[in-house]
Amino acid sequence: MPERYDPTSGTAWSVEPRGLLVLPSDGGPALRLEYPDAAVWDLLALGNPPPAVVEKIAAMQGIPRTAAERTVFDAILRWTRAGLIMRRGGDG
Amino acid sequence: MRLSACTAGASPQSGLGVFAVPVRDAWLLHAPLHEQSALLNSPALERIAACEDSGSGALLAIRRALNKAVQPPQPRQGPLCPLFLCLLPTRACNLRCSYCGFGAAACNEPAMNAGEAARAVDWMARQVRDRGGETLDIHLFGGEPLHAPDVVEVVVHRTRAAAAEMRLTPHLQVITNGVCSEQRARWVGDYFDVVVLSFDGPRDIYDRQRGCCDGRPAFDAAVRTAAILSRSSADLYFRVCVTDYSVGTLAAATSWFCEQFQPHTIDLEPLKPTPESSAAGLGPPDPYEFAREFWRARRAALPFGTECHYSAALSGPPRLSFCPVGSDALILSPGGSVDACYLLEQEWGASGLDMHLGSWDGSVMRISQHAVERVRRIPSGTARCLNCFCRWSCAGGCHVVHKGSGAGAGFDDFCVQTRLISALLLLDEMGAADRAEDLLTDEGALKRLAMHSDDRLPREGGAHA
Ligand code: SF4
Repeated sequence: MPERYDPTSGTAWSVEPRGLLVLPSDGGPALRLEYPDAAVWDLLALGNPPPAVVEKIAAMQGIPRTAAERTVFDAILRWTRAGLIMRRGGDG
Repeated sequence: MRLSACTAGASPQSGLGVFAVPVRDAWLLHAPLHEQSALLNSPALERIAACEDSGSGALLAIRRALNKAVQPPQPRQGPLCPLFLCLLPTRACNLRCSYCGFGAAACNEPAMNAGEAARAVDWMARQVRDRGGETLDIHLFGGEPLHAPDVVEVVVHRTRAAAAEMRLTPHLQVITNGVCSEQRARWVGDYFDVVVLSFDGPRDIYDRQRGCCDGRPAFDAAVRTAAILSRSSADLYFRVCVTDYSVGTLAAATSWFCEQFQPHTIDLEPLKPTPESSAAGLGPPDPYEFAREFWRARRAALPFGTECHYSAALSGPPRLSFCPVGSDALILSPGGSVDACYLLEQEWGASGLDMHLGSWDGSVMRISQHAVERVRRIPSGTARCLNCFCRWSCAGGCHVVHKGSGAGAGFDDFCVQTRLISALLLLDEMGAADRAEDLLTDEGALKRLAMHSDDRLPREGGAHA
């Protein structure tokens, strides 16, 4: 199974006019995500593996792949540390 | 009854914007440009037509309102000002509906490039911002747009991101068959403002008219999607293709839609015959039966607060075209062609029309103003429309499919159903639903209304019989 990142169990989110509102499962403060982070969250939650998310963020923002990689992997790191998403599948 | 031409004090557009059609023993006066409609007996109509400024109350008020100078709708002018951008992420489809006229079965064109689609959204956002607009209106159509989910995901997020950057309100609309996963259906409900679900009715109707590419039935997935969307924040519309097979069950199907899914609107459109539909043994409904069943469906939907709609019938202000053609809408195909019409080029080409506006290469939108002017001036309707009270609502129907059969040609099936439904809606609007019901029970009166050859008022020196 390719590497994926899913929202952790109990984490909820809602679509807002200018992004997303993420409600952590531990009852911590809500996190307001604007673009492009809102798109990264949604694409991960839809089950896109990170390379596909990078591809789509590059297309969406009209930026080079390397810049899109930074956007996506920074977000993954922040949200994993905050316990909002967790890794599934992939090697290692 | 003899009607004379108005002279002193008459509207310069008399005969252009004032119509009357027979409704049993009465006349339905319709003057869309003057925003007047009334149900009159023959003497009252005669007075109106004779421009008599006599009489009392309501009649005098109508007469005076008809004397006001009015301006018929005009083609747009000036630089391109697109109302919305419609992207066709793919022309391919996961279904094989027996009547599809969009060439999905034969489609071997690749899907749209996601990055180029996103840049087209940026272009549209700049257009809206630069003209001081507020809403970034992006539509997705196909083929089946969700058959190219990667493009749709990028377009949806680009629309929302661009709107946020330029302080616009995003408005997303999709026309889909809804045969997709549960997760995708929830996602569509979360992100789209309007979802038009192509859905023909309960299982027996659906399975007769639609199915997956591999022959599997698609009904259960479509029902699951409809149920998810009915609980979402999106406005849910159904688009129902009505055939000779399904027309008799329209009211029952409408009740079922309303009970199960509480849609905002149900759009009931008769089948447009294709070689595929003929091969499947499906034909368009009889126009009289369609009008009757449309009315029954409309009544069935009423208690649920759901609107039943037929695109060629009266709705909103007078118009020159019942579709986006001429309103500067831009339809972007996967190959980069930008057109004014959703249909395939072969189809409009075969009708002698050129709907091509320009091209999009992923960074530059090349739209020729000459092409924009040409499309804005595609004549609406034919000679027969000049005499018809639906002239400023139906406006001739589809420029491509409802080809005029020449000057002086009589009303065809499309005209019959459009004229009947328009009259029924007018009666309903003026609180005379009982008169509409009466009309529907009188076969002869329906035919007289549908085939009334010249609705204009006054007719030059002729009898209004
Ligand atoms: S004549 Fe037929 S096509 Fe023309 S406006 Fe009337 S109903 Fe429509």
